[in-house]
Amino acid sequence: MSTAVAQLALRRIAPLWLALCVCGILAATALSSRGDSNESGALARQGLWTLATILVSTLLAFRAASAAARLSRTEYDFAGATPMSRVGWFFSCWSGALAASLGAVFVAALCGEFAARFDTPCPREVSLAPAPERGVLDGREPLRWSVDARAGETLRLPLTFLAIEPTAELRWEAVRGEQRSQTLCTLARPMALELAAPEGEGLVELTLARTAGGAIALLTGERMQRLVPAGSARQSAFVLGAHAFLAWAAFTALALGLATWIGPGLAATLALALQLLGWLVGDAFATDATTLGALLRALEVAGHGIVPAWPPLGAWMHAALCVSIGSLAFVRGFGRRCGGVR
Amino acid sequence: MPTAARAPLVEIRGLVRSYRHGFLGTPRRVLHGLDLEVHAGEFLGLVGPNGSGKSTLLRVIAAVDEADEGSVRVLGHDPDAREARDATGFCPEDSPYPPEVKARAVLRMLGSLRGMSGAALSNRCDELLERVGLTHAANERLGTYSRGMLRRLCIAAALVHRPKLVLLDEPTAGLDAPGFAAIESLLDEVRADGASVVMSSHLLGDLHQRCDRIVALVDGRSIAQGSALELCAELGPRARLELAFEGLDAGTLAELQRLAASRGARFCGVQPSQSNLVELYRRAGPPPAP
Repeated sequence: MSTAVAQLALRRIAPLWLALCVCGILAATALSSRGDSNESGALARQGLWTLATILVSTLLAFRAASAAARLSRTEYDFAGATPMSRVGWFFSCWSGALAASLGAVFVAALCGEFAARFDTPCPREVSLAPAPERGVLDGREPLRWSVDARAGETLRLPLTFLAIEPTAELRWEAVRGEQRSQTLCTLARPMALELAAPEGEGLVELTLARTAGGAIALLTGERMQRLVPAGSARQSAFVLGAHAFLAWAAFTALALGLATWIGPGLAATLALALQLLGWLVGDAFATDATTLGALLRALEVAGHGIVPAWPPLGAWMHAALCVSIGSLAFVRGFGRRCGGVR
Repeated sequence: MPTAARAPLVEIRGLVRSYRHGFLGTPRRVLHGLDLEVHAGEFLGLVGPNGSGKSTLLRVIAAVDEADEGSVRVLGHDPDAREARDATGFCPEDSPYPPEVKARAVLRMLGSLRGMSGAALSNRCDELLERVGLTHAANERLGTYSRGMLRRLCIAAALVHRPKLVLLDEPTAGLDAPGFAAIESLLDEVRADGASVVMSSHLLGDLHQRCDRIVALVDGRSIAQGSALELCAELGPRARLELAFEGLDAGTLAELQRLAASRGARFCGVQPSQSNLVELYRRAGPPPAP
């Protein structure tokens, strides 16, 4: 690997004018969408990171692809005659892309926190727990299931409803040994129920029942969140940054590799298509084991004023897979159009 | 320079190289089973018309392209091996360097890729930039360079790590007279260091003065090799030679013409040497600082 080549790639992927433009757009968005409460602050944070993801990841991928295409075609006599291997060239260029991603994450985090404005204590997602799929509460049978949750955690369950009547009264109860906790609520709109896990060891037995009202409560099919107190809502910036960095790193690696075979515009588009395909496949199997899926879910969680969980192992593995595919495509295609096929 | 007793630095046997072209990727053979040896310390010229395979041959030796058939060994290694690449400096036909980078940065980057660093690298870059006359433009982007300036930089870039084998593809194309003189001086130094040079040109005049041996390529085949005079001798009475004199007056010139005519040779004309331009520029003094 070469620092000089990484610097060259960084200059090409994020030249000063482009960096200033992106910073300007994100700063203007942060100014215009500043939250005035905890709830709107969380939405402002979510909105800014969403914009940053769409804007920055597309730009980074396209510019990384352009840089790779130039090296592979018009500058291959320079690259091919040096002692650095093609793998070295890939990782040097990708390091430049990673440096650009880190810079963009930093700017997005600054602008996001400026837009969110409020720094209040909020819960942090630890992990997801299973919930009954498509459960229906029509007053006949309560739903029962069990989860592994520690004392001090809060369980959060998203619900929606069918409005045959305006509301439904619900009781959600958790039992662990002799310990018990419960929450009562009136369901009049899609919402999430929260319940503290009882003290003690072992599985928590959960019961959700409709006690009154005519509306039919429905479980959305989403998994239940396990939450702990986070201390500060600003932790979201670090977690969202990690998710965004991982997704952008995987995206640029794919674009770098594909650009040695096809044009940079097409390479960036194909890399995006592959990312979307991975997300859709992951969604179909109800897993966040893709970088894009994990990022989108983290954005959704942050919008509820909850600090998202760190990227799961599956997302790291997916990123590693994208980098492997990108590097393989790069190594095989680098200089191919100049006769440098090996 | 006697070379027969030395082990070849580059050994090529039965080299075949094809390129694909057209929509269907039809292969077109550029080199047809070429055999060639370059000995340590030898200055080898490659001459031939456009499309004769000179650039392809240099690119294969430099490990930029790969041979389809046959074997290529550089210092006993595959050209792609680190040992061979580290020992080779390649100046391609067109500048392959990023146009947004400055000349000094290019030399530093190439030096660092070859394991050079610190003061040694800085000094070498400064020295080469001065030798090729680019000190004044060292901190300008390559996108602003003229073709001649890019040629000078490419030659400096090929020499930055003091390679044992220097491959120069048409190094004099687009060079002005002072640039030509600077490159000649650099090549003298390369030879004095004992490095081998393989230089291609489609002009015999570029090669004959300094080459130990010239290989003539036509359609990817070696059709003749030897010194420039030996190549001319193969043409027999159709050979045409250019003589260079200093301090020749008109009377002596007329006498030479008569002598040549009396020996059955035809006098074809008088042509001033390119070195006159260098002298003319030198008299005008150093160029103004930018």
